[in-house]
Amino acid sequence: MELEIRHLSKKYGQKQALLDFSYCFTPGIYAILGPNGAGKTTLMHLICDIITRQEGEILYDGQEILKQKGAFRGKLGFMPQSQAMYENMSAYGFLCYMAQIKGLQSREARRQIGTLLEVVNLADVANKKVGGFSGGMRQRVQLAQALLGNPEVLILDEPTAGLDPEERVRLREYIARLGRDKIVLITTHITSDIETIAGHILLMRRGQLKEAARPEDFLALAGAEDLETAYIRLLHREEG
Amino acid sequence: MAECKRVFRSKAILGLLVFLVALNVFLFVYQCRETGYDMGEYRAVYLEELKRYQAMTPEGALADLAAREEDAARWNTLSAYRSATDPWLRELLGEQCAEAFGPDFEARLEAGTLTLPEAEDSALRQEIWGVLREQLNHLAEYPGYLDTVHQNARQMSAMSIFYGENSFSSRNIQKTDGDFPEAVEIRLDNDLAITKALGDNLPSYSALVFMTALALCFVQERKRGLWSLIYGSRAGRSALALRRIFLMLLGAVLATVTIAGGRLLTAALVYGGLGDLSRNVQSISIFRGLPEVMTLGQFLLYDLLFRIVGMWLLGLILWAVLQAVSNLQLAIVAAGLLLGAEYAVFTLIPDSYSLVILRYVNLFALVDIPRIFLRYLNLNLFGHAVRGCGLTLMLLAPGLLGAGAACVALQAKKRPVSSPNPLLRLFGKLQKPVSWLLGRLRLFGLEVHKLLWQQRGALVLLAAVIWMVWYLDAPPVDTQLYDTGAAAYEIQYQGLVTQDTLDSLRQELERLKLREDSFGVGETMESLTGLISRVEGMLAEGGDHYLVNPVPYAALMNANSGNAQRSRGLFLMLFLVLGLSGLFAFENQSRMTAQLRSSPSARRLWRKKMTLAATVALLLWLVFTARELTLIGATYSGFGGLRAPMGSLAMFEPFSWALPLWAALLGYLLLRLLVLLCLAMGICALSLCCPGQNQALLVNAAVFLLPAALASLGIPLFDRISILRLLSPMECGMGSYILCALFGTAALLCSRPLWLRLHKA
Repeated sequence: MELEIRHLSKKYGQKQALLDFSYCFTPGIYAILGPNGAGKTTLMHLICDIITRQEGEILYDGQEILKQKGAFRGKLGFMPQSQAMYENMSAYGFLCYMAQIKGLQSREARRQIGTLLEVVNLADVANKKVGGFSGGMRQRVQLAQALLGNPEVLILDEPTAGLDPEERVRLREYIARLGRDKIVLITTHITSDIETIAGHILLMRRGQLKEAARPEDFLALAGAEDLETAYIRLLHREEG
Repeated sequence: MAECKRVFRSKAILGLLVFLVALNVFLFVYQCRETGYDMGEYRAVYLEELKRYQAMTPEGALADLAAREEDAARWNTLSAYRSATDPWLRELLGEQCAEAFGPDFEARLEAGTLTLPEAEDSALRQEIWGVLREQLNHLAEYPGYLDTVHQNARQMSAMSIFYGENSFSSRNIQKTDGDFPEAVEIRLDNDLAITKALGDNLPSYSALVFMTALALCFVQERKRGLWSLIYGSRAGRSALALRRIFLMLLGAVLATVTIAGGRLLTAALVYGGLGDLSRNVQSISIFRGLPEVMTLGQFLLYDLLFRIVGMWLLGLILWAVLQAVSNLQLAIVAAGLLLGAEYAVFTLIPDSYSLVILRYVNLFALVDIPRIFLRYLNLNLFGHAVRGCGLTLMLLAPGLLGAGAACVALQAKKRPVSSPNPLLRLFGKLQKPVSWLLGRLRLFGLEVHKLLWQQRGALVLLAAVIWMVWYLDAPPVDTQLYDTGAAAYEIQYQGLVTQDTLDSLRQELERLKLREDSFGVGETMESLTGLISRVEGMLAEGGDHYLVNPVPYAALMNANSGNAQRSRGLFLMLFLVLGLSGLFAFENQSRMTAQLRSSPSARRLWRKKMTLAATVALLLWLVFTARELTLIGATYSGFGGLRAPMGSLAMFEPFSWALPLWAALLGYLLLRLLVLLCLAMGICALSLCCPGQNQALLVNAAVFLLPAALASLGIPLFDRISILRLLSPMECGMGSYILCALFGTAALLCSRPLWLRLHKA
């Protein structure tokens, strides 16, 4: 299980969103850090084939994902940054719909939805419309839909935004378990969320990959004791 | 000011207002065109005839009109005599002509000294005479009507059963006597515009829709999660409520002036003005039940004021109901139930019931103005006689105060966060079986669920069913295109033509000859003789020939007889546009494209959605076709002789194909299906390019419905370019359908790259 990115570039008009990004992901949890506009979401969208790339390749197990088409997307779980959902659908209905979109059989879909609703602590409100959910609840529904189909590659764009501390800890532990046999890519601004679970940290700035290291190496590189300080120092160093 | 800008610069509110004004104008013009005459010509002839009779007294004008109608009838008889071929009928008409024009009328006709006048006997002029006769009859009878009212009052006062002391009957008699004037000065003028403009309540109902939209706009903050923010701000409670009450008044003024005013203006333009505004309203027959003497100008002013105040009150009541229930959807249901109950009470209680008071203390009393103000009715209010409309007027001010106070109180006191009420808990319980069902549906089923419930397709479906069941009737048949006399025999002897058929027809002819002198038999005999000649020709020619009743085929496949094809087609297009516009745009609106795109079956979703669009078109076609065939079968007898060749019907003579009638019928129906399918594909392609459901609806309405609506008004340019004409296959060549199929295919092929492209930023 290997996701390799080679010289990936993306431009929005004249703006270079991603430039010559190369990296190879194997099972584990990867935290992608960077300021707003660093290209994190663009990278995620390119991996999900939501947007077109200008240059580069994305290989999954040695084969270009564009050639794999639906087969690759079947191994992918994506939780977007936006909390977009069908507002008048219940959480259960929304997950049923996403399960069908992912090609799950009805029986298997029901089993997985039941389990995931327990995991994200939404079983009690499963029949309520998502339009009335708080930001944190919507976030959890989005996470549940990303986990549907037991994906091999999990892409989580700001997964803990809007969650209360208890939910964040709970979710963090769950993601840590997932990282044992999956490639999990997480973007976040909250460094404490990934401090204890991330196996690798990637620092991006202005569309480029600036640093990629294990957390302890990342701290050593910045000469810091915590990830937040290290992140800020490395960013300032880049600017300097 | 900010709230005013937010509300009245909202695209939805402005768009709705423009739509309602356009709908009122369109339907008014459409109804006017149903007379079948050119409106310019109609107006010119009406004004010409009106001018002639304005100079006369009503009695003198009626006498002149009667003389001219009698004269026209003589000329009509002469015209019928000249075109009659049936000897019996010709003889009868000849006798009438001799009586009318003298015994030498035939000689004078041949010599050219007796020629048919062109203007006097025209059908249009005669129809206008009918309209004027009604106006003149009213003018002639109205003084007598007033005398009768007062006379009845005096007579009934003398009868003890009506005149018990302090009884409602006696007070009612006294009040009626006092309310109606002894005499009113009335005169003939152009009443058409006023009569037609006040003829139905569409403008009032349209204004009600607008006020409902305005009330919904005021509770939008709940849906958008802004309620707490607004409630927590300094001016977000009573001050905002007061501003909104004023905005509701502005909305009522705007809706009334544009919708009702627009309709009155259209009526004035169509019928050549409103006539003299200083004439008393009693000059117009629809105001017979109004006892207050006032000029037409005064009435229009009062009408405008009442409509504005009425709509203001209605808007406030609806807003108060919507505010009272925290959950917006439940609030809409509650408002709908209130309106439904009020409407049922308003329409169902007869005048004679004591509960009729509920008609005047009713929301719809503010909507149905003719029913409340133009019908004189006194109510029994604790033994006192009170004018029904007077009660409605009396309640306006307290109603406004009460509704306004309720709106302010609810805005100030209703808190954004509260414990769920029992209704909401019940609603939550109902979601469980829905979830159970959703868990068992496949992708297509879930798409159907989305279309019906998330995109409000169920409402469109309901509207389509209501239209088909209650409003659709059998299409009319142009009786001039076929021989009605022969049709009865064609039904009786429908099928393969044999020597037995000929013998039976000849026996029928013999039987008819026995009562040759009876009325109408000569014409029937002529039709039967023609039919026998046709059958003889068929037998002499050899091979298989069929007798077929052409009427049901003519009803179904007519070339827009009575504008039936256009109006039906317009409805079918409307339902498709309403139902399918949001199919793809809904995904854009819900910002779900990123998630859909990243899923393995996302691209398959395009196929599912296009299949769903085609299925909706197919179902609409199936149900409509089944209903139309059933109606035609019930009205004109069933489709017989389906195995007969196409040539058996005169309407298929231009076609040289050796196909049975069932194939022609099927082909006709399938061509309609093709058009609906292509339209569905077109709607989907446009839906893909739109960011939201409303935008998609507007775009599709502009591209497909507007040209169709203009085509149905008979504007030739739009009749040529609109897809509507293609729903009437007898009017179009095969080339048009090939073009239509190409359009549908192109829309289908374009939609896939559009779906994929739209997902790629």
